[in-house]
Amino acid sequence: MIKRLWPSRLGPQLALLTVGLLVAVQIVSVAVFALMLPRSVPAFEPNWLVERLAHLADGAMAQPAAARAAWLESQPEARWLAFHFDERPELLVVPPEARVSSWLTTMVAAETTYPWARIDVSTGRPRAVGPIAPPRLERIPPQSTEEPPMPPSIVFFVATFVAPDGWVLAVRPFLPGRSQSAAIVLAAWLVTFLVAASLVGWWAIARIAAPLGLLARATERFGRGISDEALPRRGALEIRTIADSFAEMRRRVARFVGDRTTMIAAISHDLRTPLTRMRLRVERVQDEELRAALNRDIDALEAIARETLEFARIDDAPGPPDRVDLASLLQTLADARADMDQDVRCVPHAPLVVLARADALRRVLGNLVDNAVAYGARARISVVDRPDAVRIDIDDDGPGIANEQLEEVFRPFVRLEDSRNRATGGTGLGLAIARNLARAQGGDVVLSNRMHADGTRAGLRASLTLPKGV
Amino acid sequence: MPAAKLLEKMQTRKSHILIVDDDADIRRLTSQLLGDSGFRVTAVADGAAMQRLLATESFDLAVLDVMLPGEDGFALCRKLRAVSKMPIVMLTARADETDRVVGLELGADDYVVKPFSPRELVARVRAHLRRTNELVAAAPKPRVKSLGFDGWKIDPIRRELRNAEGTLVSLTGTEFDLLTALAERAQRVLSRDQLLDLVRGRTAHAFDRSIDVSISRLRRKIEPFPDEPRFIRTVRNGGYVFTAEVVPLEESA
Repeated sequence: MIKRLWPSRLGPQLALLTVGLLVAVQIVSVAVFALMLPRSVPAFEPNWLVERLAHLADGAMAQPAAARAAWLESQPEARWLAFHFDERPELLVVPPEARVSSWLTTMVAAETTYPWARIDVSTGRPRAVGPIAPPRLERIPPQSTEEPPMPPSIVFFVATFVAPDGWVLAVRPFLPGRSQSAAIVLAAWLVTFLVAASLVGWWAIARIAAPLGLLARATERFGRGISDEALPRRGALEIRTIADSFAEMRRRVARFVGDRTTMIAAISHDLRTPLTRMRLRVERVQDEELRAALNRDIDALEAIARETLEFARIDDAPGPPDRVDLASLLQTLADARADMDQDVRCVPHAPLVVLARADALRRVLGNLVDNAVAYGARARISVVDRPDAVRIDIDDDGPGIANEQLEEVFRPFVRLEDSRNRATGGTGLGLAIARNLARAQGGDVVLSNRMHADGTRAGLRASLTLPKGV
Repeated sequence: MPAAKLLEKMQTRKSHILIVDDDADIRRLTSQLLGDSGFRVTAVADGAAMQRLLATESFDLAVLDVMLPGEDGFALCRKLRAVSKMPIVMLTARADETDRVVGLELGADDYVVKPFSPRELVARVRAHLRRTNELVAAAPKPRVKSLGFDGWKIDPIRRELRNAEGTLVSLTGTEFDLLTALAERAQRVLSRDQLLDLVRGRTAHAFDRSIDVSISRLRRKIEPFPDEPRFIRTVRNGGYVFTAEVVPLEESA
């Protein structure tokens, strides 16, 4: 499952890795931040708090009853303090473990000038939010003559002021905690971060991976004998170094192949003149039998020279592809051989246009049909027309080829041992030429064995596939 | 029959053949070959010698090697064609289609690839000489201009047939010769014997099927409805007529 989702290309892999890492780091840092949050609640300095609370409570009472709430909310302290005005003090928010602080209560009471019926200040640690435990209004704080000790900094408190007319003002700091808006802000931040990180990451990694992709394509095409692909001129130093080395290798291979090709072509070509002389000289031989034998030898030599030249010259002049009607080409191929009393037949097909070089197609199919006739006694040609490609099958009734040798026979000059001794002759280049020509046009030639129902070989099938691209 | 053979022999004995080839052995051997076949042969090694010879001698046919020192066979072919209508057979060691096309466009009549079969060379030389004699008898020399009919195009030099969409439609040699023979004589009824003659004269096909078989194959390739042919009609008393309108086309290289 993970394997299937994991991208196969370098760019996406790096991108996924980077974005994954960033997201993981972000999640961890947010988690740590969230865990540390309660500790970072600001604490109040007791004396300052006493002075502020008294100021706020007295100030509120100086206003008319209806304006008190508005006045309190307009004070700068409203940013961090919550005010509750309610006739029903049980709705006040007081943490259960809050304790009445006698020092604070005493100090606030002393600071106020308004004649409050009652003042209560509790402190504690906030744990939960919500209307809990009714304020212990009944409990009168102990009136001690001795000065209670001043508490250290105060994290959380609830101060309750009860006016003589029963009006209650409760003051507390905002409860620290993850409010809903904070969660939304966090989520939005995470998403924005993820998108931004992905975009930047993708761009950067595409820049890094693109030259590698270019190099990979060039290498792959070179492997198929096409050396036209541009090489990356930018990117990381390592990639440029590989590209330069590859370019150098490509040049060397091209030069090497070029030299070899020129040499083979020259030899094959130069053989033609002596072969012509031999042909003319043999004509003067009186002995019929001897003349026929010599002619057979010259035929064989000629075939080697011709096919070697063809093989060496394959990439010589590819020429532009042409619109070729495959149906008439196959029919013509079959008819021409049938006229020479060979058992070649073609299943008729409606006109079928392919973009290809007609002479190359004739050569490829001619070679395949000649093989079928030579080794398999007869050739049956049929066409399979698919949306993207055309396949031409040439079936024979011969002995077929052992499966492990189906690829081997495409190598130049390779002939199977049992055919070498037969009179079928051949140079061992026919299939190599056919496959090279087919591949030069984006197609391919493959061999397969046709099977009887009982598992024995019924013959060989040579298939030429051609891309349609019309 | 013996009289006709005698006549042919007399005609061939009269024929004077020019050979230009720089390989001394091939020159000598080809001269012997054609000489043994009853021709009078004069062989030279290069273009300069050919020019000197042309000033004093007249020839019925020339066999030119393409690869020559100095002026090549193509150049000689052009020069020769400028002054003479004699058949020209090019000899080359290159089997390229382009070479053949260049040669034929320069006015050569035939193109033989080394190493050629000696008998084939003799057969072709004979065929061309016979056609020259027919030419005297007002038989039309095969066109080198393309022919068009109903959007189709016949290119005699590349030996190609293309349909209205420009798609190459393949024909066997006999089918192509048959189509050309019919199209060149459109609207004229040609008997099977006449067609056989016209096709045979053009190229030596070793295994000709009967004309009827080739016509039926041809119809399957060019007729929209082979069972109701529009282009090649059968004439009741044994013959065929090409009924489409045939127009000569400008050579488009």
